[in-house]
Amino acid sequence: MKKLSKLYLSLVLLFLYIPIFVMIVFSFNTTKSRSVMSGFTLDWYVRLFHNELILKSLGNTIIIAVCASVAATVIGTLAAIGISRMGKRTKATVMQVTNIPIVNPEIVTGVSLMLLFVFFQARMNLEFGYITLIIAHITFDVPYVVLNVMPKFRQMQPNIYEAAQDLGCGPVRSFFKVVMPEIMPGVLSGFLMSFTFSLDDFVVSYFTSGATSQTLPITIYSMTRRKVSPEINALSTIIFVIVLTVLIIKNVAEKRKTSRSRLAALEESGRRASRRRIIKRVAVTAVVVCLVAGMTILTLGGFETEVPEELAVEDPDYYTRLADKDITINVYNWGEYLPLGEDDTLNLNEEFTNLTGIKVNYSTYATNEELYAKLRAGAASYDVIIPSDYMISRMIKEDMLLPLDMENIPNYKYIMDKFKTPEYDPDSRYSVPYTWGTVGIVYNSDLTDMDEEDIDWDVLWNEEYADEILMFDNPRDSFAIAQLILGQSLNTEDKRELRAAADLLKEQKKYVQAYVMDEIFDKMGAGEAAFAPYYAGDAVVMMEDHENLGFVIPESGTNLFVDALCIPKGAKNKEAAEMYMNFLCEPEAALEIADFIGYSTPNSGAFEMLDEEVQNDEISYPDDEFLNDKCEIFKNLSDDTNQYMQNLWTEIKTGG
Amino acid sequence: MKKNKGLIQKLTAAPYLVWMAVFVIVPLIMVAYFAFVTDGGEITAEYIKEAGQYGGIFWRSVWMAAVATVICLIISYPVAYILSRMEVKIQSTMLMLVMLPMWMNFLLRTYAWMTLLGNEGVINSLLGLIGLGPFKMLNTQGAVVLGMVYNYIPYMILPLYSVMVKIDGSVLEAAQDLGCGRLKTVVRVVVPLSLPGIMSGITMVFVPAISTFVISRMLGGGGNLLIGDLIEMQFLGNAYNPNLGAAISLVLMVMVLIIMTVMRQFDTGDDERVLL
Amino acid sequence: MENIVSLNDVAVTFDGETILNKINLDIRDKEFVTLLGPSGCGKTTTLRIIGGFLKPDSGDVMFEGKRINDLPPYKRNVNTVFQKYALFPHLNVFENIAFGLRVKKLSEDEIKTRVGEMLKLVNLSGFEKRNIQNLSGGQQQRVAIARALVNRPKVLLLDEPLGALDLKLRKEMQTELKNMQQSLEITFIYVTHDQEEALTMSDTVVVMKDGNILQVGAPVDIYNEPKNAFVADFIGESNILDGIMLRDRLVQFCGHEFECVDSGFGENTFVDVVIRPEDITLAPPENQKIKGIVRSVTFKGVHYEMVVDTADFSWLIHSTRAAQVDSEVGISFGPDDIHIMHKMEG
Repeated sequence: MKKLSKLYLSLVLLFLYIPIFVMIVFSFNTTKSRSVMSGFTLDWYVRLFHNELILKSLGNTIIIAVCASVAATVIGTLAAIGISRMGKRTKATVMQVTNIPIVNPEIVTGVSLMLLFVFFQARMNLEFGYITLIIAHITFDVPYVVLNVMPKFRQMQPNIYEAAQDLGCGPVRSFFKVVMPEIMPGVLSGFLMSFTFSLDDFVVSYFTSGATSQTLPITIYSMTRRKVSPEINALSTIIFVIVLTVLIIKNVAEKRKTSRSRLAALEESGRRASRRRIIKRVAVTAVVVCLVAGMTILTLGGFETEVPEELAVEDPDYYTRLADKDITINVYNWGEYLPLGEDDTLNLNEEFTNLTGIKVNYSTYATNEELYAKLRAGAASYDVIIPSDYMISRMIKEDMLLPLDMENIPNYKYIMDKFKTPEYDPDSRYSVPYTWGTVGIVYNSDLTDMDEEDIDWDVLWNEEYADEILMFDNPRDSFAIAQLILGQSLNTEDKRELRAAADLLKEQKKYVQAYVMDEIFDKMGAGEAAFAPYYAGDAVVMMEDHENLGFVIPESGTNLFVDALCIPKGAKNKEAAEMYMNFLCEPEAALEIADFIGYSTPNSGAFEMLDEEVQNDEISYPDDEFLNDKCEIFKNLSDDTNQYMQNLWTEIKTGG
Repeated sequence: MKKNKGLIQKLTAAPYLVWMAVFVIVPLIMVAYFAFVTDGGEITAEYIKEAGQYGGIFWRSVWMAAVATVICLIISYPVAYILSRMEVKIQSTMLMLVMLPMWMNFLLRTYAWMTLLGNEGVINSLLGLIGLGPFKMLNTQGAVVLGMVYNYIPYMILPLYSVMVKIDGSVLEAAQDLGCGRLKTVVRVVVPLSLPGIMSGITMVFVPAISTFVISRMLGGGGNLLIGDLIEMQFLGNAYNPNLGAAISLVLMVMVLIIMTVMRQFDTGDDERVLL
Repeated sequence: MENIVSLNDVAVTFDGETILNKINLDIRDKEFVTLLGPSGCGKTTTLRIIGGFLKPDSGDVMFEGKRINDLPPYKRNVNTVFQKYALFPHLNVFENIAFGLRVKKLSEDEIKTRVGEMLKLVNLSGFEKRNIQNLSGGQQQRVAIARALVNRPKVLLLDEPLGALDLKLRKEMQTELKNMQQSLEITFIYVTHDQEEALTMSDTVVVMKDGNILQVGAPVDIYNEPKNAFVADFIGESNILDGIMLRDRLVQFCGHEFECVDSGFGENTFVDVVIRPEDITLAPPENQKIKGIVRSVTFKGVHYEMVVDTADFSWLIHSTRAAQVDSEVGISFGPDDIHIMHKMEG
């Protein structure tokens, strides 16, 4: 029986530790792959200290956790004092309220706070950022402080406060002399619990963070939607090892202590392990570890002495105008859509800051709709965003963009003529094209022996590849594929046509392994699926990393898309934003971008600098004839159609 | 004079009360407001009706969360029991071991499951070595349930453990003395005595499981939406419709409230809430 | 009468420490046996071995002539009243008592009758539906006894069952327990560290110390003829003096020779001399060998307790007559009041 329990416990522990083991192993992997161990390296540990995004969000996380838990401890402790003096009924009511944030689903807490902050933002100019995050964290922290301190008052001898006064202490002094020491353990464990909850919170932060305050969990989340960079594995491994070491040391120390009083322990074999004490011990350890690890990483990161190479700009003087104004602009971009120093690229944001003295706050989104939702919710104020064609026209229509001052963007001259005055922005007043491309099908030659010419959109409905097909996780792109098969316009507003497309997509669902966006990099890279529709530029990047992947733009036609730089209403630094846009239009910068993200560039200056091979590449730069005859650009659909499509899409995803 | 002093002490709770009112009560009222009032200011039941259309998702969420909760309970119960009957010294070490994984970010641990479960993942590779599979594990409902079990199982083990550790060994001996074998002792004495722990474990697993959106997205492949996903989509995702989102949140909240009330019935008034 | 429980050479060690040192004990049927000794003497361990909660490292546990070492507690015809009662907090009074019967799957009617009988026996009729937490200590105690007795065990084990009760209640329960044992005609094995309790209730007292059995006997024998100074002192407060047995029936202590009734100690052997406080009478100092000064006098209700200091010893004396503090008194006792004992080893 004893053996059986031990075996059982070991199995459960194995279950708990397998993922951690995997994480640790892959932190030493030579490639970014998460399925194949190709060799041992400590590279990621070195890179961790140079990864600005991770270090910045780690810093944010620690700052917010410290502020929120300290504030929560003060408020909560004071509250406990007051509550303990209340009558029975008032007390019960207050405790009910205290329980709300604990029992309420986190997502509801997050959403409700988001609604509140949006309301305040509209009226009081409150901005999503540190403040909102700290408020949110205090809100879910403070009940834990109250619940930890309250029992201490209950356990306290009822007369000690009076006794202290009887012995000559004033009320305040009595409090600090006798009451404080009694409740201190509760205060401490409340603080530690708050701190650890704050450190690890994702859901509430996700709904209440803004442009300037991305925390580590949020960064990790956006990574998991594409590919977790092994630096994060390295960071987690470091934290894990430190926690483990501290625990082992503590345990050894304790063993020695207990063996001395073994007899006493024997007497007390009434198994009175105090759970609270254990939790507290773990929490103390965690706090110490986090602080130490955080500080080390931050300081080490601070010692970075790399001198970036200069990027040649046309008119350096233009960029120095705002140098001494201490401006920070908030840039909201697609994930992995700007080189930031990864894999020996230039860090364009850093370059820009060096050049202009303007700091850049950079965060990312995954879909046009997410960007739209963030802006509509008013959850943050951004200075530069990069929506796609149809979304730009929707935003123009809904008056969400600011007209640009082209005087401030002299490099607009480099934009190829065919990308000027597009349908989505007929006067080119709101947008500066950033990249463009087509949609095609990524395939894995290990999993299919079809010839490239035979691959058309209908392969995504091929039963033979059931469960080896990935599909777009957004309605517009998914509908477009069905519409291409049905021969509809990609911009149809005919509900019958849309219904037909939806039916086709529903039929497809049984073959689809997963609906994904950027996760495609991960899944196709790992050989999880045979076919996936995606954007040409991303396909180019995937093909560079994986020889077995190929890309086809079906001859029957496809969607042509353009992503362009815009300034949303509410931007605080329009001039600096325009300067940033201009900077990204510098031919050398545009070339860096095209190189890094693999998308086609609308910048003639950059195009000319490309290798001839690339200029003639059918995937990145199909000939104009194909673009004109076979490709259609998304236009904005009417609200009604948008809503209808959205409903159909939800129906598809939730049905069956 | 004396009365005055009490007042001052009560006033120390004022910041907290104000805080809770502004940042807990008011936001919840706003959720209700958004759920029933259009942008134009008209009162409508339209959004709630619309939320009703997603009955399928609600049902699926309840079902999957319930399955995950039951599995958690089945796995955790023996764990908690074995732990609580161990030597005190080993007990604390084991408890640490159970809780240690919680210090790793849960997104990363869930992500690691993607590595394990994928068609080309670690498990299928190992199975391949002995000529089995590959099995489709990732992007299934099973994977989502597994993710829930994995992430929330400590919330089941801890409350169970903390009630079981309070069960006096002599009570178990008394049961044996009165004719109970090992199994009968558990059924007749341990289970009834750990009922409060079971109940708080169930709520602590069920509530986050029913409202998660991360696990379903990462392990469910986007085709296994849960209530959480639905809400997230309305606020920060494709669908953008805060009113509908608020309506769904409201329904979710009411569901949770009902479940809590039901569970409360079993609570024996022992108000020492299990934290963490 | 035959033995119902026998322990043969039973030894228990825990973490290298000897808890029971090869003890041998025979308990006869229908007897009230008390295991008496200070805490840590191994009495509870002995009880747990009989109950089946602990397996001895070596030796045999016999029940009605059969070896039951490997029989789990739930298969033994023995029930226990636990130290802190160990009642089931989730069950009411009736269900607590009915527990063992339900496990045996008796019919509902029989359960009702038997529980009813038990409730009557322990004077708790009408308390069936009561919650355990709402009972007083004494009532909980009765439930615990009823819960064990309802199973009609051949042997009832009681582990310091009265320890948590106040003095008056304890006395009441002592009588009740004794009556129950006699009317039910079953064996009681009772553990206590209270010598008075042991002496009043038991047919046989087993005195234990450090994992050894020091003496087994009827209360009167134990009281009157303690085997050594420890037993003597533990059974009742005593004056224990170092003495030398000069020859049979002559002992020397406090610098004087006294006649006594003991013999067989050899000549000039060091012994312990035990004289009970109530056996001493105070006499005028003039004619006595031992004289001392009265240091304190305490009224104890039935008698006075006095401390009298002599040159090399402080005497404890019980008497119905009080002496004057600081007065000189003589200490007097007869030859049969002097108990001679072998010096304890160690």
